[in-house]
Amino acid sequence: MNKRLISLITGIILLLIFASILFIFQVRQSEVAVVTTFGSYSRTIEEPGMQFKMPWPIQKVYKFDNRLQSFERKFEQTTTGDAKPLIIEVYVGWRISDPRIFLERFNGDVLKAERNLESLVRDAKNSVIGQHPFRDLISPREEDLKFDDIESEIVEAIQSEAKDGYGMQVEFAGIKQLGLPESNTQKVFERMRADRQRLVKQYQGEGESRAMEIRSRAEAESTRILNEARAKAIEIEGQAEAQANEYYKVFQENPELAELLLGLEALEAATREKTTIVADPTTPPFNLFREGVKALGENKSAGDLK
Amino acid sequence: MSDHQKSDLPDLPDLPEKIQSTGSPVTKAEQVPLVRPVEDSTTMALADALSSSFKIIQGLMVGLFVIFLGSGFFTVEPNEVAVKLRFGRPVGTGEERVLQQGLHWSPPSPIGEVVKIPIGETRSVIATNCWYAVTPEMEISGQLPYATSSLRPGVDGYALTADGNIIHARADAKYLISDPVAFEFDFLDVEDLLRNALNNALLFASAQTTADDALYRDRAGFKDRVRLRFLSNVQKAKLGITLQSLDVQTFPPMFVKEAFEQVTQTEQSVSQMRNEAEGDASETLRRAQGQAQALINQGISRSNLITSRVIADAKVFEQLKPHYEANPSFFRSRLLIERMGRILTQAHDTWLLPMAGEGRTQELRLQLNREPTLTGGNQDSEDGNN
Repeated sequence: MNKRLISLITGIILLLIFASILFIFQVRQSEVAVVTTFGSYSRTIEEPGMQFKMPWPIQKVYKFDNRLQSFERKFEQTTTGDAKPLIIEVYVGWRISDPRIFLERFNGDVLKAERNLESLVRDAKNSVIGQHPFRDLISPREEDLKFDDIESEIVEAIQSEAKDGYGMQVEFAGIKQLGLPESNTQKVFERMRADRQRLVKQYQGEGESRAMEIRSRAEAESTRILNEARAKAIEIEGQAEAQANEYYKVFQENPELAELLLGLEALEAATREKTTIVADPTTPPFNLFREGVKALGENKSAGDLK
Repeated sequence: MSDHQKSDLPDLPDLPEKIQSTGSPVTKAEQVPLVRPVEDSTTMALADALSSSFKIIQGLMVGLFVIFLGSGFFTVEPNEVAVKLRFGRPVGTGEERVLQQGLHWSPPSPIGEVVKIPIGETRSVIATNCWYAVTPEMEISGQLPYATSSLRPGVDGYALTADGNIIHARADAKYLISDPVAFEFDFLDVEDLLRNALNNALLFASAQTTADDALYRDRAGFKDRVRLRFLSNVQKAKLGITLQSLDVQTFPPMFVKEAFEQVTQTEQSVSQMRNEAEGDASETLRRAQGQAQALINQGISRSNLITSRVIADAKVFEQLKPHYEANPSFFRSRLLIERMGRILTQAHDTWLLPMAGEGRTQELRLQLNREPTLTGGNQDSEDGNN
């Protein structure tokens, strides 16, 4: 009896396993699924978990990865609103929003879906860029840049058709690369070189001018300082002279004596260095020579007479 | 035939008490006993084998089931987290979905699934759409390509600046996964999305920055604009990462690199020129201030001399006045002779002319040098002073 029970249980387990393989399938967190019955659409499963189905060939399950993925458009030339040629590459982030449409349209082929998305993105990009001038993409003021607006407009332009026609939800778009036609880059280089050469000359001129200005200002300031110092020195000497005049009043008591003393002082000061004096015999004290000679002569005569 | 073998044989049905065909009842004594079929050894052996096999299979099945359940144990390392899926759906809600380090159990596949996400390691994404076209070998060696007079779209990467110039730029962003569930289940290739976001940030920052600012003057500002735009893109797409560091490099095109370097060199030489001028100006002012102070000091000295001399002269005058008033002529002669003696003593040369005879005139001719003849090395310094 026990053996029969074990056998029964074993059989049931095997049957369950077999049945689960045939009748049960899983939809993973990152997946969505479409169930078809004899090739016709039955239902869409967008929530993860265990699901039931009839075995093949009655029902078939198609699973798709519904995670956000990135698609990049080729680097292509377009024209801005002010007729400037521009080469631009755009990327979009998309995911499957309607698995049924995605299956029916592309049979689940992601590459095929992206090829169709490519044409949508190209048209949207050309249309949107064509409505914006070049300065909306290149400007020294951040508030003038319209990157966000342009990217949003591209998404808006393709979202409806992508969703309704392809079952794809475009969540964002971004500009990946901006450039100019090759011939334009050559002109830009030439202009950059010319700009640099002009800047070199400008900086050199400004530098020399500034250096000269600094030096001349210093010279002018130096002159002013010296002039002020000279004036100050003269003022100080003047004050001293004025003070000296107070003392000179005492000389008025005997002007002759004052003149004699001051004159002798001046004479002595003037002949203090490197002076050659030429004097005649009447100048004191040289006049004493004559008296001496005369006295000598008188003594000699007196001696001779004796 | 053994009792055991007999017991395995099916029981024969009881014979009916009356066999209908003869029309007369048959007693049990007249019944012909049925004889059981003869069983051969092969069949027996097969039966034995099947019985044993069945038991072995049972044992194996139990064992496999235990192994099956045991395979559900797993460990989460310190630098990772894990998410359990049951029939494809994450187990738990919110933060509970994320399993931290340790030993865990999940029903094995196909019932359950364990997804491990390494969150501890710092990951890196590099944006080179705006950089030179370099080979991997050049990238490793840091070598840059030769200069070309133009740039090929789609091959040579570059960025347009706000003043219509061209620069090359690249960015290297290091990040950590902050939302592992979103990182694993919401995006097919996060690294690709991050690279695009970083390229977009480079373009956006370049588009509003002049070439000089991006290359030299305001590299920190340029890097900051890249960082802000990148973070904005990450937040908009909800990529579930945290930026750790960002390195941004900018470079002028090779064709105009020399011209840019000349500007830099000129700026440096101009700065040096200005520094020299300011140095000279400082020196001039310092010298002027020194001279000015010397002039003022000379003025003060002279004023002191004047004052002190006058005071001294006044004192001498007062002292000599009584003597002069007592005998003016004598005093005058005495003073003259005394001072003459001093003057003649300190004179360099003294010449006494002979008197001409009475009634005769004499003519004096003097050959004067600018400077008296000096001895030794004093000549040059004296000449310089005069």
